[in-house]
Amino acid sequence: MKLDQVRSIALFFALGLMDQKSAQQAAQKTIASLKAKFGDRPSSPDAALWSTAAVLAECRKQWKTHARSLPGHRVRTGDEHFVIPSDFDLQVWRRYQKDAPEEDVMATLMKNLFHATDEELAEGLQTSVGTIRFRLGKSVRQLGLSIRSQPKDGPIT
Amino acid sequence: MSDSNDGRRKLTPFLAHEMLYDYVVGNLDPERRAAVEDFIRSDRESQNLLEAIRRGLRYAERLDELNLTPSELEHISSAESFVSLSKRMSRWSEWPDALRWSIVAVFISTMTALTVVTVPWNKAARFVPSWNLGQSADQGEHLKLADLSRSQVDEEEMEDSGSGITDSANADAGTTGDSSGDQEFADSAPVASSVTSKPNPTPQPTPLASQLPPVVAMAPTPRPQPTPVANATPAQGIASRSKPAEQGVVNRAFMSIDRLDELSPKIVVQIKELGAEKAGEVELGWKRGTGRYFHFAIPEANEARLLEVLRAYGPVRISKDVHPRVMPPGQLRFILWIESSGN
Repeated sequence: MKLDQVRSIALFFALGLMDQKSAQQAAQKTIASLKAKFGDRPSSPDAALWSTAAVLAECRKQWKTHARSLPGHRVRTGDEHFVIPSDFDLQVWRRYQKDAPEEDVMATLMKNLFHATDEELAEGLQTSVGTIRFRLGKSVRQLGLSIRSQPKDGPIT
Repeated sequence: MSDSNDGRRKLTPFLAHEMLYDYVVGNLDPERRAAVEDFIRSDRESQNLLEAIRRGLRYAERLDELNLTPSELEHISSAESFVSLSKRMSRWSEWPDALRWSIVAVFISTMTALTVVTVPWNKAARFVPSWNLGQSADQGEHLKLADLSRSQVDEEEMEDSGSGITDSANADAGTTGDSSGDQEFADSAPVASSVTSKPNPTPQPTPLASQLPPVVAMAPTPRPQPTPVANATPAQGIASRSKPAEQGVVNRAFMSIDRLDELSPKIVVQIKELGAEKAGEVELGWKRGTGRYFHFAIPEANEARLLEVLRAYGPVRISKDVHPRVMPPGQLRFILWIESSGN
């Protein structure tokens, strides 16, 4: 398992669930489950099976599990847990993540963190390519509108 | 969607807005792309939405520039579930070296212990004849002696200097701990030469009962001294199985007196007056080391008198031990060891 895959999985749950404890647990379980299924050593012949679709499917499964059990008073993931570029406004994402449907959030994160194709997304999320494109379009439009609506003295993204 | 005047399809605002994302990312075919571009040029709202989508795309693409703190990444990447851990640990090569070597050591120890416990070593000599030739002298003597008839083996019975009689502290334990009651030695007795010169060293488990001189069954002294089978020679074991109820008794006496060299002949005379006859090869009062050895048979009626005589010289310690040899009725067998207490 490559380190960038670990990073992508960890970031996926951190931004998707926005709850530090739940995100950490979900990421750990996802990685452990993938290790158990495919092995974690570069020399392992099963390493090739770490396909993006398999990773996405496991992420979706753990997301569903942990999103359901999120506590009422969530410990929101603060900025201190991230290494954020200076010209990036995480508040835009926080607003979007709070209001958007979880399937849209999931698709947006998977598309941009795992650099998955629409076909891989469709396979991982067990839906059609058209649905994926619809969700992605809706998400970026909502994100763009959210950026436009922020105060003018805020950071430009 | 509606048809335009020149025959080309014209988009409705709803369809045009829904196609804006695909237009930006390049998923539309050329005809649709041209239609969307035509619509955007004439629709202000579409222009705003197109700009919002582009901003949203740029923002979403920059999500990959975020990162978690290294400590958090390290914590997450070291995750092990029960399944993955057990799967990894199920591979022998993944086990720690110390654990693997420990398991090998424990396995070898267990197998060795099981072998020692389960193999009947005392019976193994029967099935491996060559063992009889290679055994130690002591064990070989036991096997050979067992093969001889009782009439041939008029054995000397005496205590070895280390067997306990010469050691007053261990005298009782030494005399009662041995199931046979005494030690048969062949190096000083004439029978030894006949034993060692026997042509066929392989023991034949001939039942001793058929070769014993005529003896009269005598009720053994009611002293529960079970004879451990493990200490018996194979021939003794067979004999004991054929006549389990027939057991004799040997009386052992131990004394320690001064002026032993002077008093020993007197003691010999006195016990002979009581009807004692030597039971072994050596004469009564045979000197060995610093002690004297008396092995004799005496009428049972004179037992009390014998003890009186001996007690006149000093305290006597007496024990009775079970012994395979059965004496005729009215006869007792004594082994008396007198140790010199003077320097």
